[in-house]
Amino acid sequence: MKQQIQAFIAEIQKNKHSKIIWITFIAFSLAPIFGGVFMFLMKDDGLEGLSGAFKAKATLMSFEANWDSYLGLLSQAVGVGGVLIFGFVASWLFGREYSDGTAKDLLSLPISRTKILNAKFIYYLIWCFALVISNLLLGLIIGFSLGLKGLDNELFIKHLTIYLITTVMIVLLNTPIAFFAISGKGYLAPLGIVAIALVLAQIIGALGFGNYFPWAVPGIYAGSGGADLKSQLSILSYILLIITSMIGYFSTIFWWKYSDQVK
Amino acid sequence: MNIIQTENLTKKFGDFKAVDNVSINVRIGEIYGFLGLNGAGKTTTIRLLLGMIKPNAGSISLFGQSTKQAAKIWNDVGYLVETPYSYPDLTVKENLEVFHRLRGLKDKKLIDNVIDKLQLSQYKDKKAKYLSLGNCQRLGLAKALIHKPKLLILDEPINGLDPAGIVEIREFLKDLVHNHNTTIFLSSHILSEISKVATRIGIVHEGKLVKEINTNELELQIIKKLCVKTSDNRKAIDLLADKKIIFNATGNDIIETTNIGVIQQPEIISEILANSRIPLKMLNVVEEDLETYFLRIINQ
Repeated sequence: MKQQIQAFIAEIQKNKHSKIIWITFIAFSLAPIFGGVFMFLMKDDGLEGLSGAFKAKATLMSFEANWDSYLGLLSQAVGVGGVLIFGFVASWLFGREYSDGTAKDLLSLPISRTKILNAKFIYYLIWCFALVISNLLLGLIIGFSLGLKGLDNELFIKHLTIYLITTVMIVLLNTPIAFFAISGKGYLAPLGIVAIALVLAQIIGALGFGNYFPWAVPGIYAGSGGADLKSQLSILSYILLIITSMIGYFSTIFWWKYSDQVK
Repeated sequence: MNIIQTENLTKKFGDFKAVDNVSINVRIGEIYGFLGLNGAGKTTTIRLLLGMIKPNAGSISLFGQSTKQAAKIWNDVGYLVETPYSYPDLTVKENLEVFHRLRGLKDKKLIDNVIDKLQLSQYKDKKAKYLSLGNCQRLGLAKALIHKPKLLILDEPINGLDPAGIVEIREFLKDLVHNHNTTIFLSSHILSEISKVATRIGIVHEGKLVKEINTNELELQIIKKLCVKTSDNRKAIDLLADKKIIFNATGNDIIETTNIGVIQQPEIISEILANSRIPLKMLNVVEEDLETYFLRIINQ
């Protein structure tokens, strides 16, 4: 345990001057900001305040300028944007050791390779949760500033639960991204996989099989496909997601421990 | 005691044998120079020793223990593999703090000590991404040395260093062996450089260990020749052959011998030729340089 803590602190030390952390916070904060703009435009004229694709989406989702719609929007932003941003975080955390050429320095140390990887997974987990909590706080500030109506404890707890469960699902889904970063020896390969996963999630979701494609499940759960699609999620959808995550975690550990490290 | 012992170590990448049946024994207190051309298998051997890649056949032990047995072995090993890189946004000191922590070291003075030893004091607050190649190399060495290891495994440690830096690191490595009981395994592709620091040299070519030699025996292995040019080389060869001194003609109007006795006393030849009225135009002892010796060995 002591070694695990030391590895985690070392991970903090490695990242303490990293600009990437702030870039992810700025990128992720675009969701509550644009959601706020959405609400602001709808505030006086309802759907008539919008135009084009925004209006079509808002009509489809029965959006209104209130807390229910705004908090729902935040969860959907995590469900889709989280796949991208958390995937980026995982790609960078696990791939940077190869891109920076430092991976070889971590392989023959008196601390196990698994602990070094676990330290990265813990750091990744904390980073992702810091992102969603900061977005939630920013969303609350924006919502209160706009004077949105309809917030009560029940509504807040309902949305908070969806928001956090969506987050957990996406956090779990990026263990395969860590694997592609380690096996691809850098952050380009996993970023490519993130992009493919996002595209496939859209296509498979549109075909009506999103409930069996793990990368589509968080978005559907968050409500981005509407209530009908959400109702199609079954226990199998969640089991597939958890199995994907476990395969990703154990293959990352296995690869780092047992494959030939030539870079 | 053998600090490093490999037996029939073999590593293949597909059909390509990067390391082929290499058996090495490095004894305590030795500086073992591992010499080979680029692509000869030096780095692959080092990665095998460090457990970074798995052999297809053969065994490795460090300090008499298999490297598979315990991560504790790495407490006593410092290493530098290929070009040393560091976390670019961290300073020299911060980079060393990361490895100080990962190695579970307690004494904070170790960081400043190794910074001083590698003459990085003036750069300790400079980010690694702004360091010169030579100072990156020093930082790599500092990471390898921070925990005062009993065994140092260094891959091309003088790459990027200027001549003064090379001399300094060479003396530093000698000091580690002589005064701190360290054993060093280092690779290089420059024989003249490795011969100045190593006590024993292993020459690797196309994955095979083709020769092992003590550095103090190197002098005996170097080919020396006495080259002579006269106004009548044919007559000189016959005359010297009568005296049981065998000379051979070369293609460029010179005759030569590898007879050690004659090489040590070339005046014998000038005297014989003068007495026989064969005018001498040139008399020169030529010594094979280390690079030529190296190329001769790997081409045998």
